Amino acid sequence: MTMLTATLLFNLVLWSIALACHARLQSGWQRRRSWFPSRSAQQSMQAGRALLPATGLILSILLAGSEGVVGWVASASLGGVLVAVTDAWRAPPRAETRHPSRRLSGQG
Amino acid sequence: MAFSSYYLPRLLIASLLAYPAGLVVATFLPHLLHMPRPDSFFVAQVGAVIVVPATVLTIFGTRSLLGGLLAAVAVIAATMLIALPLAAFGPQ
Amino acid sequence: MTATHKQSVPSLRMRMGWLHAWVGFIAGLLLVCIFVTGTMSVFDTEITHWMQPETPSAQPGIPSAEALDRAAAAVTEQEGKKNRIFLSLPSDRDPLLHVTYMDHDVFRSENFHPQTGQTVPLRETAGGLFFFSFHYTLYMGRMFGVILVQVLAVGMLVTLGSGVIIHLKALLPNLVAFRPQSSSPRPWIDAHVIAAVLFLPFMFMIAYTGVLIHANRFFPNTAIERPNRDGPGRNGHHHASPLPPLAPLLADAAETFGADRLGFIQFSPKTVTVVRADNSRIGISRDHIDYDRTTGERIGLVSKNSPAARTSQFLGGLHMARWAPVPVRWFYFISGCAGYVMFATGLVMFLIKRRRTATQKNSLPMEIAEGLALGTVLGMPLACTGVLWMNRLLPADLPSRVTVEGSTLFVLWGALTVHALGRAFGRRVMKGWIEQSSLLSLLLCLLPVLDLATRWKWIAGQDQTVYAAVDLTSVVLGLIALRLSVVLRRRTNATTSLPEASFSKEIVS
Repeated sequence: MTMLTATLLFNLVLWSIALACHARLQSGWQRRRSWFPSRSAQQSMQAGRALLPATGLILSILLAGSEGVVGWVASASLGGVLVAVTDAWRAPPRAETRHPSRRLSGQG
Repeated sequence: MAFSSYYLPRLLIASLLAYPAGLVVATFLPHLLHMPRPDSFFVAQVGAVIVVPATVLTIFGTRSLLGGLLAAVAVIAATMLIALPLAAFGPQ
Repeated sequence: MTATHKQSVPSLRMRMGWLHAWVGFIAGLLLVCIFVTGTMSVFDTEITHWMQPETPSAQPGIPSAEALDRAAAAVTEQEGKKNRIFLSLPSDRDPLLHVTYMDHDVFRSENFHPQTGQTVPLRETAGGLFFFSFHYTLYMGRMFGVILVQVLAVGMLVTLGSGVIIHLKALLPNLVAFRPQSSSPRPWIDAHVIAAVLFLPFMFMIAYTGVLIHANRFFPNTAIERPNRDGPGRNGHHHASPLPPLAPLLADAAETFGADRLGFIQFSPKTVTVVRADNSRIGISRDHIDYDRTTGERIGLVSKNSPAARTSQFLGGLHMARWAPVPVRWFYFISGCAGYVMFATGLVMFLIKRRRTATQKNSLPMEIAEGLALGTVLGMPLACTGVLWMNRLLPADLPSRVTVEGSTLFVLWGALTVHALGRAFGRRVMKGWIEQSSLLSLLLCLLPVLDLATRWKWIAGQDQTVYAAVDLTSVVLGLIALRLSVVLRRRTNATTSLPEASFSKEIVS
């Protein structure tokens, strides 16, 4: 396995986690599911969605140069599709009211 | 949303101006650059290719036609400023 | 500006929505086809390999002196009477040695085993290059066709720009929101937005670099006259001197470029040129070493290293993906598929919206638009699959194979568009979608069967990777087409009670 392939796979994992966190931080996502993250979980997810891709980018540049950056961007797209399809497949939409204690701070 | 009297003329004006705008950049930018002809042509192409769709979007996006034209000139100037450093640095 | 005038001007979002819809639809009808063939071109060498099932296994690397001597003899034989000749060196993707020359505007090849030097008789085929040529010329000529594709790519940039503006508010919150169970048209919108937004960097890059690669045709005042490397003997009027032994030249070039970084050899009356492979780095540098044709002595390394040249090489390489190893190539393939999904869903949504808002429900333009959308969205993939089928069904020694294979695409595409228009005029366009998606799934799912049935006598000792990859991809795409046909059939059945069952009524339900 070349360094570029390794960074691709690694970035795919990081982006998938980051975008999964991003999805769960959206009020739209939470309205349709019965799982509500606690405030500390929200904070770690907020940190994760920024830090994980940043880590991936730094590693990509260090390990695979400009090819790594191309791979990093491509991984974001594929990671997003994986998260979207997995979410759609795992939990079909449910019309459910949002728990009052789980409102996102940024959304007032 | 149907073909209204607003959209189609505006699109025609934007389309008719976009290509000449790109052509102007492609023609005059090489004269401003002191570098081999292939390189200066490439830098001009980089700018001109951005200018064409950007002009359409700008002219179509602004409320008044005059405002659109002025904004398009600003976009062209900005594009040239962005395109020039590309020639100066490039990916090493 | 008066207050009344301000009120009469539509909002920015409305203006951009109109631009996005109309430019997207008109350009999208052909961009779908460009994306389908472009996506296939990512694996053009592999598709050519699949279309020549006689291809034996061979180890890539510097070819033996014996193989090079035989190839040189073939080059000498073709020189003087042909336009251009070059010798493709073995690579990981294509392990054979090819002497390629132009014969009446058609590329033909003589193929040699890189170790033994034996001639490898392969069937003539349009190959993956056919899809590649269609992708950037639409087979309308290297001037008009390329410029038309560039105009469409500019249309794509306009569509992407306006799309970003109209989706700006929901861009980040709905980044990964896909709700297939919601009522229509939500799943179509989600699929469209996911394909466009998640792959936005790719879409901008591919459209922009696509125009830039041939920008000297779009802006002819920036065209540079290329020096005639062949000199006066280009059309065979000049008697070229005999070729020097090629093996020492390649050994010398390998020291500069690396043994696995040798691309191809070009010949002119005075020089022999070894060109660096495009898979060396992202930028297609075309660095080359010239050798004296008489003595075989090295004349020098030619390399363009100015910042602008490197930027140009980088942007061209980013589009062409020749640098990409297999995993990255798959990313390009998936991104190409996303482009197809973006345009296909965009065309469908455009039609749904026009159906809803049209004053006259079954107007002629509407029916033509529905027919053309079906004829491109499903007709083009079907026609491409038809080329693969035709490749294996035609006799291997048929002299006009290349022409027949190429014609298959256009004949099938035309027939399917006529079928689609017929269904649209008969107000049964959904039936057309079901029929074409069912046919597509059938052809794609049965492709591995056809492959095994027609490759059986060469299968022993062959490397199965390429064949397995093409066959498996075909089955996966076939299953997706099958799923589409099942979903459409189910929705149509649910709305058959509706009077005047139209495209939008069927699909919206």
